[in-house]
Amino acid sequence: MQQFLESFLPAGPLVVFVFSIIPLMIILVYALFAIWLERKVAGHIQDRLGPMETGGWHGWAQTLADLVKMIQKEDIVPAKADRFLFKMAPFIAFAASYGAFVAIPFSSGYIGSMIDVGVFYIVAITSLLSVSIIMAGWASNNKWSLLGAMRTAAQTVSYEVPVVVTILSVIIVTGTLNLMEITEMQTGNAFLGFLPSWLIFHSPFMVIAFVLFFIASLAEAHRVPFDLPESESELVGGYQTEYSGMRWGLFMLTEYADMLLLSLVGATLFFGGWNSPFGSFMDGPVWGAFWMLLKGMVLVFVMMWLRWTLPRLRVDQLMNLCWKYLIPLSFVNLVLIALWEMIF
Amino acid sequence: MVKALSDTYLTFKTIFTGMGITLRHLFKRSVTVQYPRQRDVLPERVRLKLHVNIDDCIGCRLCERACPVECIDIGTIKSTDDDDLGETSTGHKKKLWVDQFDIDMAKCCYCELCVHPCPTDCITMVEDYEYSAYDRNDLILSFSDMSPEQIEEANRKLEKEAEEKRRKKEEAKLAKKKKAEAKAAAGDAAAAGDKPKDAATGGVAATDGKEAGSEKPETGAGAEASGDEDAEKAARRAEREARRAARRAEREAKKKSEE
Repeated sequence: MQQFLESFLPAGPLVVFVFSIIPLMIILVYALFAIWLERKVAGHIQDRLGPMETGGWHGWAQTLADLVKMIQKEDIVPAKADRFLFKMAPFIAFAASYGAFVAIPFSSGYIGSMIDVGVFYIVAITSLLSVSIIMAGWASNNKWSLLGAMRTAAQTVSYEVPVVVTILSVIIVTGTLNLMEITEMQTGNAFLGFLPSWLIFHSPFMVIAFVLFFIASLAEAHRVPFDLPESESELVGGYQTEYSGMRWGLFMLTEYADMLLLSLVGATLFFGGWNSPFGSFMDGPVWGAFWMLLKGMVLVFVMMWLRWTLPRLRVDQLMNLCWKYLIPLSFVNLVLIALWEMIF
Repeated sequence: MVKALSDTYLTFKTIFTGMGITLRHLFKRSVTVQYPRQRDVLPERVRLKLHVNIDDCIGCRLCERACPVECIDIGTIKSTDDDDLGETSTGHKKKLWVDQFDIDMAKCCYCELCVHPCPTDCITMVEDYEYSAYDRNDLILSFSDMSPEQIEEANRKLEKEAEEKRRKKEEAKLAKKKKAEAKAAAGDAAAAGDKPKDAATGGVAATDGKEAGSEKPETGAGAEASGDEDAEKAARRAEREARRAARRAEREAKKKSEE
């Protein structure tokens, strides 16, 4: 990819810049699409239509219009707020989720950085998100914000355990943390002759691992049924209460970027990343990007689908689910996968 | 352990049931009506807005009387004999100018009680529900098609006719009186020629006639009653006119203040 860019751009900082903002472009376009899709899915699940007017065809420009509106809004900082932290929080939040995209292999030709600790890096840097949320909640000087932020802290600390353990069980199989290498391992149709050699088909325990990972990633992305940090109906938006305009928009963007990030990680770890489901058919760097994003979007769609199906959990139910079910299950699953690896 | 497993099973079962339901709804036809472009089919007897076919109105005020909230305001002027207002489509003869037919839709309670008494079926409910207004006075629907000049003309004509009638009546009475006097005089003359007893009765008749005559210049008993009625009507009309003028002034003032 870098060589490709260097072929028509003057070498040096410009190439690095273009190279590094590619995920940003993907995130921005994806966010515009995903927010529209979320409204459409919400509408149709409730037998409504969702946005229909803006832009002509099924309100495709609705998010664009919202973006323009948000940019025009006044930048309000509460009088008693900690100005510096309050203003910094949304940027740190977005930086945290954008930083994680470095290690995501979008296609066989594009990965931000071939770091060997890829998955570990992603897990580590997404934790920064909860720091920024606590920053936002504390700096707002508002009880709703603070309550929301504290719920986030509790939630993130709890749900990182099952996420890490399920990722660990994948790592046992792959033997590497580099997501590019993990994806390359899943090329071809090894299982039963026709199934793509994705890790989800590796053993029945991988299915359980994926389910656990998906549930925990919902909590990591603060999506329904684990959206207690925001919980509009109880906490008036949680840590977002005092934010308005583009700063609030950045939080929103972060939420959607996080959804995509965790979906892409899930797709890479369990569904073969940029590998085509049809073996060598429709393969290659460009198709790779297509498959990767398609898999990610399918998982994002499932997240939306769940959002409009399930009610929100209570705080104690949230902790109950995590510590009494997900963590024991993920540990048992880890051991079973390790045994499977030893035997076969 | 068993409880945990059964709970897990139940969780997944219910989640998948729920997801099945939402997936079904995802592909179900939505119930939304894209309002300005699509409209619901209205029921046959909707009561949304009153409409008056003023050509058919005979000014009988039955609707005004039927209205429980007094939102209908009708003003009529009697037509003169030389005017022919024609007939309604139902064959009723029109005898009154309807110079005012105001319905205040802000007051209207959509009971449709005004529709049924109408002898010519000229007041009806129509299927129009998009008449919201910024000013409450804009909800007063005026159906009268008479211009102020026409109203004035009709009033003037009526007054003229009333005057004429009064004069005619006076003349008739005068003529009657004269006749009576002449008769009395004739009687007197006859009595003078015949019997003194008759003269006495004739004198009484003469005084009677004189009394009637003295009354006549004050328009006479019957004429006086009709005059009272006229005055009453005129007062009512004046009141209505004043109300209208006040309303108009108010509306204009509001418009001005808005500007």
